[in-house]
Amino acid sequence: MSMKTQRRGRLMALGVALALGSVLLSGCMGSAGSATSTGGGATTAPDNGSATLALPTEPANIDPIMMRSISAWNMYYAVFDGLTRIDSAGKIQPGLATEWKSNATQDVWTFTIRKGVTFQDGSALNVSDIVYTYNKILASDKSTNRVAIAMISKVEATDDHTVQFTLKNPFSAWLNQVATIGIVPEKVYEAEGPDKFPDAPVGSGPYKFVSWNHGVDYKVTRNDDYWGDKAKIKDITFSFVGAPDARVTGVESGTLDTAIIPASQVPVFTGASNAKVVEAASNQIAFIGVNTTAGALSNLKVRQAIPLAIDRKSIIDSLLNGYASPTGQPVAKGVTGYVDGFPTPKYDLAAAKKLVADSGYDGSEITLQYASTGGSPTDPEVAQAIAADLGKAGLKIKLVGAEQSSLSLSLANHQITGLYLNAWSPSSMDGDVVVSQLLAGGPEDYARSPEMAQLYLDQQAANADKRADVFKKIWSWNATNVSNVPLWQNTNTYAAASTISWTPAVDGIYRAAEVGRSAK
Amino acid sequence: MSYVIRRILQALVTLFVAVTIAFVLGRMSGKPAALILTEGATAQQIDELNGKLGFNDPILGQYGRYLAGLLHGDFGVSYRNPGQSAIGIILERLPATTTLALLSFAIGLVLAVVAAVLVHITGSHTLRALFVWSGALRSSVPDFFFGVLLVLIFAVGLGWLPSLGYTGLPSFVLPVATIATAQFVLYVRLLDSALSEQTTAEYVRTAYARGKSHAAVVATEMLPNAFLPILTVAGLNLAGLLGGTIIVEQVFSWPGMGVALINAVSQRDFAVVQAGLLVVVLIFVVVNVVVDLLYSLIDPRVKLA
Repeated sequence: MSMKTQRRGRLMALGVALALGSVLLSGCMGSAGSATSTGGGATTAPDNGSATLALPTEPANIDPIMMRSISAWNMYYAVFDGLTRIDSAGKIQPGLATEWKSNATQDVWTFTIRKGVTFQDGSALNVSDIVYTYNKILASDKSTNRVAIAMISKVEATDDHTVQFTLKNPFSAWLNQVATIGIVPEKVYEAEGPDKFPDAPVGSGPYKFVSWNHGVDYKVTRNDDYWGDKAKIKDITFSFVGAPDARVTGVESGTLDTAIIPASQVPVFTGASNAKVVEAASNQIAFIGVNTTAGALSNLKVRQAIPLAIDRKSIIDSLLNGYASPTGQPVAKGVTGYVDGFPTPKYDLAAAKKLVADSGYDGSEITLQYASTGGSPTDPEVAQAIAADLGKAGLKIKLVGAEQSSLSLSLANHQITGLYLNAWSPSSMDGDVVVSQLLAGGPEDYARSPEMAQLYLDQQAANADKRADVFKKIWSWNATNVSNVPLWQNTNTYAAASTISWTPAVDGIYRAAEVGRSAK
Repeated sequence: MSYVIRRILQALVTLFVAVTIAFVLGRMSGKPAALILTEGATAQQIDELNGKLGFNDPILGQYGRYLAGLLHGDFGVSYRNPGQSAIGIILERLPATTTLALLSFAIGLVLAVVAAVLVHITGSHTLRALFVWSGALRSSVPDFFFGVLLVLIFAVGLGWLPSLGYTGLPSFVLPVATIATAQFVLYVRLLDSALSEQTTAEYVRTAYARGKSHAAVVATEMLPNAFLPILTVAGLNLAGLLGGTIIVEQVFSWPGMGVALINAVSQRDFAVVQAGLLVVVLIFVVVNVVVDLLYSLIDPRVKLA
């Protein structure tokens, strides 16, 4: 019974004539009261079973030397190890390195490497492989990983179990950075090169590569010789499924075991017997970026009206189905740099109106750019709601929609004409990159404040305890000067087969080895 | 012979125009390095990578390099995927696209022929009404919704088939059914009306006068004549299907050329877009030639000159 209403609900959501749909469906669903799952698991022992994890995008390349890509990390974290590991809560854990230390100025980092680790081809992992991996990235012109470690001045093995990095500048987030670099065996990579290595990659991670069927899936199987906790499920398939609807029906039908789904599709799974919804706070912050030099926005009072005029709670409740929590800082809880208790601006239309009136705003048009497609599916509605809120405060907003990659190009090329709606999720789980990108000299920083530039350097040079204070100063500076208006921290919603036991990571990246299945 | 030469020349001009348009439109949409470098790249790093990829050179120079490469059979390299040739990325998608397109097309067309002939041999009004009505129903439902409907019934509800993927025979059933039904209703309508037009033709009366049975007249005399108008439509349709069926590919997460092209466009992977367009244009050209040849085979009056 509940299944029938579910399907109808979906059809309406699809916005298609109900008559046709319900006639066809009621007829067919009548006999389908007991849906059977075709997914594995029920018949095989959990430890030797398989699971299919959906990914919304397929990386163009899966080579830890050449490619830095959020979707590729799902595979990297399965097949490769970094010196450190970011756990699913976003905390740094030992990886290939068992311990580490930095000097007082945070620009020399020394790692003690785990003994007895072997690559999946049976060869021993030596410190030379680690040095090779970093140097190879630095020497590869077209590697997109190079940017992330460009601050390396020298990487060397000081003895058989120690690797030392000398950086060009203090960089307190280094432990997060090395977590994202998967170590490859020098011998294999030199023999195969970037052309062939992705077709038969060798790492030291909890899973071994099986196959990559481009456009379809990436298969791995458990590495029984792994040095750490063995993977829970033997065979994992990462399935590339771009369309959100296909991910939803994929889990419903048992073709997929887990998939990230739009919050609007959560009701589909209410009362489902073979699948459930798993929520997890994400590392993603939605925000309004500001070109503080453009027209009316160069007026501080106009800018200060913006955070007060946006009714975050009502937008979250009505457009995001409640799957977000308001914030006043551009990094998410769980990311280093998040300041507990930092205030979220209160919705105060009267105060916003007064600021606009006091500013001498001449009524000139302010553009608000957003992703009409390719971004978060709710972006267009959210942009409209924000434009309406700002309109109530007396600002004249013009909405300009474009496909996400066009918007990204405008952002990267420093070509924003007013305001823009976007989101940031640092996979390194550290606020450093957020500050540099949005506030301190990056392409999305229009203010170019010397004060902020100094705070950024202070943050890089501060050790862990003092860093929190600097971050607090940075967010306070932003709250006053309004270079950027943080809106909310998004909550990810996943659908999963009811037998799957798994806690989604805060960065939205699968730690495949931790996905388990309960014997049902 | 002159026909062949003319067609080849025409094809070359078409291809040239297509790649030029693709090239110019692509470059107008922006330099891609900012989309490749993810977190926290500086403007200088972005500019440096654009330079290394050749995007800071004057556009005419880039175009010249590209054309020179094409003449040597070099379609360029995907920069999203260092080392992979652009044409390789497209050709890799060809099997999934062609099997889906050919299978759906053939099933749709053959069933349509059988159905239309059956209607005319039996002269059954009920049968015709059934096909016309179900046809109207199917064509009023967009492919994406029909596909989702099939998934909800056969994958989610009944659990008989996988809802997505390109993973073996069962995964073919729903996408093929989606396209084949759309093809079927189109051809059955066209064939039915074409056959109806033939019934009063002189040659049909002559055939009856020679003592041929009704079934034989429909199948061997009327059908080839009725088939001519279908051929053009079918050719264009087939070429369209072979060029990738974006909607169906997305619904079923099918690794076809349509989605690959769309992704390349949004990632500004110009070489792949250009290579993909070349392949699509080539498919259209080849299918058109084949249709012309078939015309002359079926209808002796048509001469290729």
